[in-house]
Amino acid sequence: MEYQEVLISPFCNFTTPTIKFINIKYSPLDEYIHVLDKLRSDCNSDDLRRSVFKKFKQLLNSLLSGLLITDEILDDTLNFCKKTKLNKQFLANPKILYQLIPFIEIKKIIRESITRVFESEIEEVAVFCKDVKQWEFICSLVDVHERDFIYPVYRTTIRKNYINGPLVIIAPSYWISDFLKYPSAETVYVIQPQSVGALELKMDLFKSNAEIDIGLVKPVTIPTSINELIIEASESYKKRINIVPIENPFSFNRMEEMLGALSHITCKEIIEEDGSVSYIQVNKTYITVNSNGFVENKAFGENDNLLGTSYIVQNIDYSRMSHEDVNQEYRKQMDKWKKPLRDYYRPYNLPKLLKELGAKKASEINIKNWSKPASIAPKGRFDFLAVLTFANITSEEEIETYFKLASNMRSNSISFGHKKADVAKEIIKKSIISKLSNGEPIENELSIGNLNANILMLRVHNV
Amino acid sequence: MNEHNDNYQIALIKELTNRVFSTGGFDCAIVLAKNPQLLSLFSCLVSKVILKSPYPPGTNFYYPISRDGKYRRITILSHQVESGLSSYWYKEANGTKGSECKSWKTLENFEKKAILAKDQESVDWIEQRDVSGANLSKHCGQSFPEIVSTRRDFEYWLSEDINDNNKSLLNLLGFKNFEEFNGAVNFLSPRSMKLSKEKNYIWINSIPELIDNKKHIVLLSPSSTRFEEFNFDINELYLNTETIRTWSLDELPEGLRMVAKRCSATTPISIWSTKKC
Repeated sequence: MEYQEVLISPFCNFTTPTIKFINIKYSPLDEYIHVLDKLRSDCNSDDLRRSVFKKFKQLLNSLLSGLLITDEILDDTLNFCKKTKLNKQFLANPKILYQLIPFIEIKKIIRESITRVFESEIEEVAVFCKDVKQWEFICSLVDVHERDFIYPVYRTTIRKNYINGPLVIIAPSYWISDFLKYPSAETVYVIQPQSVGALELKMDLFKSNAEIDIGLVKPVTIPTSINELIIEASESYKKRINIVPIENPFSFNRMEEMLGALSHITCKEIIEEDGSVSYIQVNKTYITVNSNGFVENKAFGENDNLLGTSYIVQNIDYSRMSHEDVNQEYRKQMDKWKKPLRDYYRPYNLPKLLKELGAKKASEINIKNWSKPASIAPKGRFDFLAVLTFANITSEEEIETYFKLASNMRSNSISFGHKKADVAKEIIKKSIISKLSNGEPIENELSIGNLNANILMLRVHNV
Repeated sequence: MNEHNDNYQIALIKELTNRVFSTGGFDCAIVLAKNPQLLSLFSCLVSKVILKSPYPPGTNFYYPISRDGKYRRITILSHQVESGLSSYWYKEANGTKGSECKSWKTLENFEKKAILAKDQESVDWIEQRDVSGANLSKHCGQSFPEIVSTRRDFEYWLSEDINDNNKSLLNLLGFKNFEEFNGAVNFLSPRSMKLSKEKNYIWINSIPELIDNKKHIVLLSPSSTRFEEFNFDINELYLNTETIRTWSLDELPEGLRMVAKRCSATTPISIWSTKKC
């Protein structure tokens, strides 16, 4: 293990990163991608059809990650398709995909790719592996003399370390574009199907309004090169009669749309209710619904299981939210206690009532100001408590929320980005709570005004 | 990396720390690297200020004035050694408002009784009122920038032997254990941030709302779960800061330029000044 300590370091020891794409041209794989895309367009917005598509997408995800598809998984996929009882016409493409899998020799792809890497590397090469099982699988494929020159790195290592030598990742580049933009290794080999093409990798963190460069150097474009690797298909594949012709080549965007931008390389894998795989970030706080129907904020660690969690709000898009939206939402929440003040049928009695509830400065004028939607809240703690109590807001947790809300509204020290994220979360959370209490179903997508959220439905026995 | 030279990233952080926190010019530097916590400790290492005897002019102390445990605020005027005798001149407020008087004590006598004050910044130090012994805010003899972050991960990096010299960062920083570090380095929560009176801040995976006459080093990690928000927050800060100037590589002082250039393809940086130069 000694060499690893030198090669894996918390500091960056290289100065000139490059990305080398090894774009694989392999007929059975290209055909699979092509047919899968056709299947996708056949789905329309039918959930059952989509679940079939997702099954085959998952197989492709495995292949593109350099993982072996076992007979068990393949049988499982077949049985799933049969059970859907979808019509023959729709199932024609799934059938082709099913038949194609045995022709895609993942072992051959890995072996030839690694050999290609060693044509230009004399150092030890780090190979990104999903787990120890994949590492053992890869070891079993390479030549004996190559085995001493490869070592595994895993997601947890790569999060906090630089690799000071070459690194091989078997994955389409759009899964890891941020990872590639901010280099983790001097030379990164990305092994991907040629249909993905090449990705322009620009460090664009320091761009103001997507225009002005505010970084020390203009956005650096990481130098890339493309190396085509043609892998010969087996004779049995070539002899097939019905090879589906590939009409027009794939675009990068279409691949990303088809397979999604998240993967096990940067995220934790979870199994959705329909058996498909999704991804969440480690240690990020998500809105979740537990199996008792309660909504809670929860973060998942690297080794945490998801037992007891039924839904996870995977992603909230609040990019279209404006300053005004945020302020409006704040005001809307505050109006919960303001409205009772405005609506009270004997306003002249309010000063007395509020004083009885502990208020110190409950003059008629002050009360009028507090109850206006444009104002924030009484400054004094006792005054604020009194008006909340008046509006029947009495639980400690709720009171805490309103105090926090007021300080957020007043504060200049919380960035607008944070405020937006907070407000967006609050809106989504409320909507889910109201759906749950009304017995409405929770769907994969939730849109409220300018907000969009994706929700993952988890399998009951998620581990 | 050879033994005598720092790794480029470490060298970069050290240079930036000096330029932002002490020698002037820059008010804010934002750096993207994989280990913000670790790099922040190197920043602490360089910006550590040690106050020790003999104390320089301008050092603030509390000095006992009566038997009932009251202390007066005094400031050192000078330290001198005459015929082998080491002594201080210091100033204190003299009853009537605005007037002050000079006093002299031998170093030995002075240091036996005087207590180093945490506040070494206030210009009106001696004019502030006397305090009782129970309410002194003492200085631990060294000061660091304040870190806006949780303490998570720090213990780990502090105990690691980083540069192969059998010394952990904890040792390099001059602490015996993590508790000592915790006592000396102040951590602030990124969410409910109210900046204190201190001047220098290190931010970890979060971005200040305002520069506000303070000095900031912001360290961000590409694997942070908040990475997508960073660009947005940086934009906000940029747009909210008046008379801002961003620096380009060629304009930097030479030492920093060399190391920044080496890091340019691996460690993106943005450097800002808020005053017109």
